[in-house]
Amino acid sequence: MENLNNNQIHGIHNGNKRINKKYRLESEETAAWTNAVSKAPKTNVSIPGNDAVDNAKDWVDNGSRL
Amino acid sequence: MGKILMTVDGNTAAAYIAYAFTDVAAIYPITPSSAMAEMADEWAANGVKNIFGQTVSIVQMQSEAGAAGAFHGSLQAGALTTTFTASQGLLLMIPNMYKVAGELLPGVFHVSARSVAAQALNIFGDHQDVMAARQTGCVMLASSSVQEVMDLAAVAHLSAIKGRLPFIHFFDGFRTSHEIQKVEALEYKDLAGLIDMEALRNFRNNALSPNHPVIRGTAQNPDIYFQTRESCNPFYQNIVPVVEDYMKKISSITGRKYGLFDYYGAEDAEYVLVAMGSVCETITETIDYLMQNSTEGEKYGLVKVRLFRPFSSEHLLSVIPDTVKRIAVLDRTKEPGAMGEPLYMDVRNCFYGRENAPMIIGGRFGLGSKDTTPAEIKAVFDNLKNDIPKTHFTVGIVDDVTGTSLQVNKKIITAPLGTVRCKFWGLGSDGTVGANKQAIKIIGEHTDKYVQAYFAYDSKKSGGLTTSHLRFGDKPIKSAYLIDEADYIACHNQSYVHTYNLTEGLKNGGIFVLNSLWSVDELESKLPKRLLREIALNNIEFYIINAIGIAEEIGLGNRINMIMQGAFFKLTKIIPEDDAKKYLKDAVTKAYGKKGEKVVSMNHMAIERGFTDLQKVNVPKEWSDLSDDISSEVQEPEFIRKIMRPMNRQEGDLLPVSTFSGIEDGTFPSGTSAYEKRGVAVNIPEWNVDTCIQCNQCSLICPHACIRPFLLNEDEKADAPPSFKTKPASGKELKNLNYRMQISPMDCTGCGNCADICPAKPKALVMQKIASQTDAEVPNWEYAVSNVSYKGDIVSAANIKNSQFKTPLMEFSGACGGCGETPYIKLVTQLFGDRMMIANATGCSSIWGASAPSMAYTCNHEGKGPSWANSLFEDNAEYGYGMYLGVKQIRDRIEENMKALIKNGVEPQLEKAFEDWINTKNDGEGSKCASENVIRMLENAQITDSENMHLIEQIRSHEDYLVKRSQWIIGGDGWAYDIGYGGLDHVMASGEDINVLVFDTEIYSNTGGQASKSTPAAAVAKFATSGKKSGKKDLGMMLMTYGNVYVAQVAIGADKNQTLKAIQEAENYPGPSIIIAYAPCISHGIKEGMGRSMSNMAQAVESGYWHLYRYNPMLAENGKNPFTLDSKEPKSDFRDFLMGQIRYSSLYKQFPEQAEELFNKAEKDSRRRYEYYKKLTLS
Repeated sequence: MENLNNNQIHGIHNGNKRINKKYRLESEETAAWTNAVSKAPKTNVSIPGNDAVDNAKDWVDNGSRL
Repeated sequence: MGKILMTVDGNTAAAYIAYAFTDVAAIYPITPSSAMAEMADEWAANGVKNIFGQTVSIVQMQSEAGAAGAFHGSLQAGALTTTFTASQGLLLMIPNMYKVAGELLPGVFHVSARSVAAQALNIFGDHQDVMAARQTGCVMLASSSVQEVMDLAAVAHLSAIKGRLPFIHFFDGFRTSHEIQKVEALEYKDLAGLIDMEALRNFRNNALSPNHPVIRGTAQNPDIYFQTRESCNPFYQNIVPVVEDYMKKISSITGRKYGLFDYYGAEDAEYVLVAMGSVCETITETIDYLMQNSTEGEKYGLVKVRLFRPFSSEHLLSVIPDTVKRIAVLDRTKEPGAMGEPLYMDVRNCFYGRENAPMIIGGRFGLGSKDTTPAEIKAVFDNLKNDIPKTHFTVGIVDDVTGTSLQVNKKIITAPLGTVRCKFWGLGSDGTVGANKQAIKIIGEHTDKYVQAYFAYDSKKSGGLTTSHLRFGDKPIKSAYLIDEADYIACHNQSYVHTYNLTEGLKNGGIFVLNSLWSVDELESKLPKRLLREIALNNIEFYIINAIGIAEEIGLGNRINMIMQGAFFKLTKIIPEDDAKKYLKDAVTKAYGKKGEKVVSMNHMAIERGFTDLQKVNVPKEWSDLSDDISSEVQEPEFIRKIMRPMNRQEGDLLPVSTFSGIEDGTFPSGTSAYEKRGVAVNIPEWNVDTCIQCNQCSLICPHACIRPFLLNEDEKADAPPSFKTKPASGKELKNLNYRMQISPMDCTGCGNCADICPAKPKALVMQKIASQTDAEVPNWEYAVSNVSYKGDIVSAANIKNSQFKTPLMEFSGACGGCGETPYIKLVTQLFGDRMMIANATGCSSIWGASAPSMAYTCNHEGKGPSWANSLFEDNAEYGYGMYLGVKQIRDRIEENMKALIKNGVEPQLEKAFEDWINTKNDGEGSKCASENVIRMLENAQITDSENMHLIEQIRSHEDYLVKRSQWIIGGDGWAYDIGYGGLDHVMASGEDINVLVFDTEIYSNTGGQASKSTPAAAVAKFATSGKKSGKKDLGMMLMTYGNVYVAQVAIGADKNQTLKAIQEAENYPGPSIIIAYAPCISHGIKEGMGRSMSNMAQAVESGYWHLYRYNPMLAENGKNPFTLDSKEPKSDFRDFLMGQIRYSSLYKQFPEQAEELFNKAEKDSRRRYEYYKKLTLS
């Protein structure tokens, strides 16, 4: 079994285009919990609306069925 | 007789029938069966009556073993009793299944048949669980489709009553349990008319009663046990005609023919398969295709097995044509070491000794919901026709290790002409799955078309990939496999263009729709060349729609689902456009009506825009000639390259068995999640070097370990990229070092807790769009982890700040953004990770921690890190205890060997090394130095005496055990409070040095929000739909009664120092310790969002909802009060805290009368606890 120790993992960053890519593989911009109705004033932390919170809860409770 | 058309899945069909015939259901949730009990519970809560005119009593027990016990007891009391389960749950019921069968009780187990954990956990479908119960004496009835579930579930209940035997009614987990089809159901009044009332009366009269008392469950000796065991034989002979009779009755009512075995295919077939479950549907579709396309006149057939136990040889033989020359039996299970799998052995046995018996071979398929396609069924037939067919074969995989697999030569498309096949790539919670379920219902209810929907997900707890497979047609849909050739594919998430092969399987001339922010002109530069080429080569009709832009414009935020639905109906033309719009809008009005006219109107507009805003892309011919971007070979570890990357591309099905040579025992390497770099976040934190006060709190609470402090020396600072800003590190131990807080943009989930918690003024972390950060911060992260050396040893982890300079050895997990669980274990790994062993209960923590191929636990620069393992759910404490015992025994042996060497006489330096080791043996940090010294001394030791040499060799061979291990047992409240409590209690009672960490989300988070005994009163959860009536169990108090258990209750977002202190004290305590950690969860429905989950913890404590304390027995040994109450007098409003979460506020909306009473109870319960804790501080 290969030892994927931290040095190796992160050392392998150099030149590893996959690890250092800037494009996203799985953007959550359409996820329920990122459906912000406003942002917190000082931090820009997204504040979801009630519907978004509802939808997010519904997904983990009923949607994914895992 | 009245019949109702329903568009439902298999679970719903089973629950519908079960509800009719059930007085009591004793259950425990387990995927994929949980929905059956949940639906029954919901119906009961809404007053739906069974055929006896009563609502069903649904009771959730602490485990399946408990459910089986209650099931048994309820039957003995004369109540018709049902349960719903699968997999591990069914295994836990086995002891009681023997009892129920032995006592001739008519209970029914509805099982969504699922894999059993062996080398790995798998929640998907096969028959391993039901096969493990086949010897219990329960009758076993198999359904192969949703319609069969609806029909045969009734046969199970009716036959159980008449025949006085319990039934296992099973159907394929996920493939049938979760597949949606349009089916016919009988009305309850008609089902009631089928009951054998005399048999029912006899059952009730035979119940235990003090009015006519009897004794059951006696102990018997060799003199009579065998005879009484055999006395039940007539009931097993009798049940066969009973089942057959009820099948005939159902057949005559429904028009659908059912027999114990049913034959399909050529009446004069030569080659026949025998199978049960959903694969039968695929086989019949394949037989139709093969017979229609046969050039050589081969004749094929299928025997569908319905009654598996008792297995009626007579009935099997009666359906098999006399012309049959060869039979292949397909088993969806594996029995290592057996001569063959169970169904195969049964069928072979039927023909034993008969003249002109056909050749019979057997094979395995579909384990863990591995898809079985028509091409694979053809391969089975082709093998059967070979001169020397392979037996004990596998199909659906490539077994290049033991050569069992059949080769699949060519893909065949067997779906009947006119079937429309649609596939959708979505993101969990984006509404795609819900919208598709709605689409299926609309088409099912408003057309005569047959419909089918099936959904596949990955293991990310929230978010993650969803694929929806929808089929519509004028003929019955028997395709029990994922869509392999599509007419329509839609991708609802633009980022997937780089991740998956989106148009694979799209037929020539098919339709591809992409939700895209890019304009038509940008596509060529933005989309991967491979995708453009495939679109061109396959003449694909390519459309884009900016669903996100439209949604924002309308006011729906990022809610794209109704827009994409409109696009779907527009392009597929399954329903006339005007009708489609009307039905969609009606569905929206029904679903969202309560939310107000504005919401309804916005969704209506979204539907319209879906129809109008599609842009067709003119595909230039030049795209056909595009070649992929040339990239140099990427250097990655073999595991990542060969296993992880294909799996993450959804190509894991192509991996042959040999891929796993060397890891046959299920071992996976640590630290693979670091390679994922999913880029999930919409916004990520931007660090302000000037305002940061270097408190490191952001790093502490980050659920995903993607924001970390780094200390740079001058050389490292000089070599850093220009944007890699630093400032002088504060703190005297960090003199001459430079400090930076670095984010990993592509690992961040964007929850925002770090920014929220930052105490700096102005904030040192502000969330920004990810695109504005990646150019600088991706290379900055790379620099930090690759070029900045580890300096965590400079400081002790005595405080929060310094603890964060230790590398986290749990990172980039699959947990939800803002998860309340992960920060705790991440901190523990920073403190003890290099010598930690973890036993992790099944639950959210095992899923986010170790869903293949993403392993969140990793190792440090020395290659050391937590060893992690999951056994089961119920046995986690015992599993961890076993790890501890094994290690302790070996270390005790090391000590014995050292003492023997000291006694025999060795050189003084070696003797001192041994003595130091023995003296620090149970000191975690102390044993590190002593162990290093022992290893060093042993290397140079000059030993000539043979006995001493042997003892030295013994010590050397166990070097790995020298450093004291930190044994941790972790899991959620479902494990600790409920199913695993017995084991936990026993382990805590042992007095041994074990550490337990409970992630208390106060709900079964992983299986969809069922109540646990940790759920407080008033919380709404599954099986507590009108609010939990009982209060929260005080696990900590119970364990404190032992007196020698360290107990702490913590909340990292409320008091970080107390959490750190508790963890250190717990690990340091030389006995059992338990930390109960409050963990906000998406399931709570926190209205402020999961970006404030840490703040939510603080609110929980401030309002008196959650309390912080430590009980340290070592203080008592020193004459001090062991109990310290760390949380202060509540100062904020309890009710406000409750109403800030949907799990409480929804009670107020739905059951306002009960809400007030329950809220008051919840507050009183919390207050009472607090007052009791305060009293403890006085003793």
